[in-house]
Amino acid sequence: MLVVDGTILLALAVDTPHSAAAEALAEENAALAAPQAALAEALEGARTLMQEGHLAQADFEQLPGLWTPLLSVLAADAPLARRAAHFAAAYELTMTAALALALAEAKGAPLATLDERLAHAALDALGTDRVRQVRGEAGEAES
Amino acid sequence: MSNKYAPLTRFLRQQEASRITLSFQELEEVLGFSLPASAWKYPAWWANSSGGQSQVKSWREAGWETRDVDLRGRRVTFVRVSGEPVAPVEEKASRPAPAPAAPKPRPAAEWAGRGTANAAALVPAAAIDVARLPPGVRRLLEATGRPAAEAAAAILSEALAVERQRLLRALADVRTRTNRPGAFDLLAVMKRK
Repeated sequence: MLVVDGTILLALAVDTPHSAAAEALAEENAALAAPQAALAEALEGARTLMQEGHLAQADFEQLPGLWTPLLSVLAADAPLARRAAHFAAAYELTMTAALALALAEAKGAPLATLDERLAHAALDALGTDRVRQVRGEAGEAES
Repeated sequence: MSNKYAPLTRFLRQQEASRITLSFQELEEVLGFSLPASAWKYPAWWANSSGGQSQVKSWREAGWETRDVDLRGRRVTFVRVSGEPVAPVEEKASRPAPAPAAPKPRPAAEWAGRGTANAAALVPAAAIDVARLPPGVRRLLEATGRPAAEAAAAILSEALAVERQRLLRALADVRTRTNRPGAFDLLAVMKRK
């Protein structure tokens, strides 16, 4: 299993320097997982791009149907939310990012993200072998 | 140095049951990587007596041992033997008896919802009654020459891989239609900065 956050989902849907690496992660990992909040966050980002005229409404509306079959979309219970709140406070993360970190910790899975702050938090909380920070113009994924 | 099999230690510590059977595929999902070829071929890879091996440490440190390694059926049963971490076999004789098993912590989280992408890992061997399947499906499974659950998992995996590629192609098509390609600061769009 590989836990992904909203940045990876959005990079799959809009063209960025990181999209190729995000796609490679999705191809290589049949068992992707994300918290429900990450899906909502990615959709909110896509909605912003649609409102700004960068993404067609029809494409925006089909994203849920393209993302969700690729993922195990997981709901958090109170212990996970508490753990995420701790991470959010300790590492100054958004709660959505912290939920992805807490999910990776709870599942014993690596976490993939484009968010440098989240990646650093994950390095500290999970260890170097559990982080896939996607970065670089070439779109490589680094662990 | 950290043990690459540590995810299995964590997984077993989260279990409330005292016995769990996993297919090798499910175990690979827990680990996040493929089992080595020797795990698929040699019972010795699973032997609890190989205390120095990192995979053995992973389950013994969680207080579990392997039972009923089924290489043909590609599954293994883990049994809880202690509430406390278990020392490697060679050290066990010099250690005091383990304390009575403590109440097991509940899993850190319970999950709702599953993507179809993981369905192949969820085919329980005992749940497939081949005799009750429609003839066409039965012939499809039997044509593989493999056990029903294994064949069903393989067929599902193949179908899901095809579907996965279709979804990724569709997302790539969306990307090609985005205005101002390559210029987005996703963190700003997502208001993380």
